[in-house]
Amino acid sequence: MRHPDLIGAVVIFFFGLLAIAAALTTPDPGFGVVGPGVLAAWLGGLVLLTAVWLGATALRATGRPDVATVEMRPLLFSFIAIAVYFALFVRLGFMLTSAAYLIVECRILGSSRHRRDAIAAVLFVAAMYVVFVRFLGVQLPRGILPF
Amino acid sequence: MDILGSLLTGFGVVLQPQNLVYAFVGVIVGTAIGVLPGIGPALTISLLLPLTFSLESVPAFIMFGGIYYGAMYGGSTTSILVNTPGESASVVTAIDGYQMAKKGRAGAALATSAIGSFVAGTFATIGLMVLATTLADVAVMLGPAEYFALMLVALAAVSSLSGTSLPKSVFATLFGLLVGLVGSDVQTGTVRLSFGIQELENGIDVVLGAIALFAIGEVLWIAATSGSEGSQERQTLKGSAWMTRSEFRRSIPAWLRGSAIGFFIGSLPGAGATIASFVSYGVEKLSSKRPQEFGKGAIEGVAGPEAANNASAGGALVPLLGLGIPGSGTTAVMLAAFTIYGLQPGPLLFAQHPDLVWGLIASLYVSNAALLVLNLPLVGLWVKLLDIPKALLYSGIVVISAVGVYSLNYSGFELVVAFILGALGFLFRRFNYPLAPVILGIVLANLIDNAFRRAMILSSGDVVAIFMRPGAAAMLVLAILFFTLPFLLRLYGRVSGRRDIAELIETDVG
Repeated sequence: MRHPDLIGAVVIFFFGLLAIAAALTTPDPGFGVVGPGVLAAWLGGLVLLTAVWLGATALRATGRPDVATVEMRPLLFSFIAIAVYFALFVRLGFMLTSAAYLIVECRILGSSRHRRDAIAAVLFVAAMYVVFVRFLGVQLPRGILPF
Repeated sequence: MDILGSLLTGFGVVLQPQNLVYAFVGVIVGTAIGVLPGIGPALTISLLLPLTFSLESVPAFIMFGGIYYGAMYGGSTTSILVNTPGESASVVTAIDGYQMAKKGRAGAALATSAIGSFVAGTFATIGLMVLATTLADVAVMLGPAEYFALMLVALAAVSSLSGTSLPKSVFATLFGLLVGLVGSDVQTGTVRLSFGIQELENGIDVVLGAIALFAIGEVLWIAATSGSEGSQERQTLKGSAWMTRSEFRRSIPAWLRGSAIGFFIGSLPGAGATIASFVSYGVEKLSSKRPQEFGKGAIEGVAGPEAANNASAGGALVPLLGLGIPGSGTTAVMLAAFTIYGLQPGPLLFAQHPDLVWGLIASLYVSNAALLVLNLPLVGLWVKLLDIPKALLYSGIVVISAVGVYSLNYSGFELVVAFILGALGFLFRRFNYPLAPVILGIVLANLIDNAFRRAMILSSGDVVAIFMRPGAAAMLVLAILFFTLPFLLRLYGRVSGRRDIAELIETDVG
């Protein structure tokens, strides 16, 4: 398939099917006239129609849509870095994971001043900790550190 | 109580020293974050929401008022001095603002922008007071059928006015609605669309959605496209930030026109500040005696759009406060903030929490004045913020996002949801699907579901009967008009040969 919107239409179509399936399996306790899954099922149906509409628009289009060029390498590394950061946020704690993530992400985003980034990361995380935990009373995960 | 009396009550609340500090802090923080490229008002409010968790509702909303106006204004300084708009609504300011700065008139551009924002903000807040209270009086008479139809109007308007492709905007809206329906149904307690995942039973928070889609999606976007950004030559402020008499005279009508355009467009669901600023620029160019100066440093090209930008911020609060229905991504996040405090914006809020609502409105006047007082002296500081290395800035945004999402419910699972939505936010942006309708869909999903089901009970299960009520029928017609607006405009553009109309509807306004 040459047109990205056609792929989008197919993905959206399957998303619509999934929504309808989930809506239809929602139990109806029998109160009221309309069950809790009805609107979701209708929305799923509209998603299917939108997929067909998008697909038809893409098929009629003469050129490719204006889609920006992306660099896969930094995107993939950022994607992994954020995934790992979020996955370990509670287990290893806010301070440790955030400082490590900041240092790694700065490198992914092209910074070459590693010492500056490391100092900035530690200071930033410490400031965040003081503001949120000490002043605002937000409980951030400690993880393996005692604070 | 009349409007003036209520407003005085509001000022009584906001002028307490502690609340005044919150208003000023909100303006400074909102402007500081609004200055940064890629961070619009919706994300600014989402990211700063955790800061208010420890506050009572009144000071929290006073601070929000400051953040909101500050974030709306923040983009103009960098548009003028660096040609780097902080958010999409400031794009048009950069056209003539940067040219003025290159000619050594940065001070005049900044002054007309600051005073225009003040004039427009004041005009819009007066309009908000009058219109929101009138709407609130009407809204108490609306039944579930009318509310359901009204929300269809909001969704149709947002779908038709966001983005460049109608099917993509419609999908974005439907996607948001389906995400918003995940979790326990309020009426029956039945869990829906959770795929058996226990953690999804409480639903997906709209603040989580806003942070994920806007912040994490933005960082992934920056990572993927960082090589394509060029650096801009930075202009400096030479002399004082003020206008000549001639520039002042030329600015006045532009401020007034921009205020009216911005307030009107801002109060329409989905239209927002970007369209308002572009329309204002077009009107200024059309009505100018010197159209040839536009694009080369015409002061009206800065004064009008900046006024329109700020007036639209006040206009956008009209449907939120009057009807309880947000019309933009930013006001959708504000609605979420209201619900965090157990409040439901709309007609009853004026009756049940007058101190909060009038405190918020009065804080908009105070924030507006604070913007005027603070922004010109602090121009140097705002520009300095652009010196923050991009890598540190965007990775820092992810850390703030993680804290913001985690602090909502202290749930590690919600970080997983935020990551998935953030990745989807990137894909939406990559393939030109607008994000504002997603946020609006998330926030309206349960409201629309409740209104629909209550209307169905009243009509004994007859869908057609819902729209037989005159108010609901009128709103359905309005929704259809909004939905078909792009087709009608395109048709008109083709028939009349007006290419500018065709180009306007193809402008991505997010």
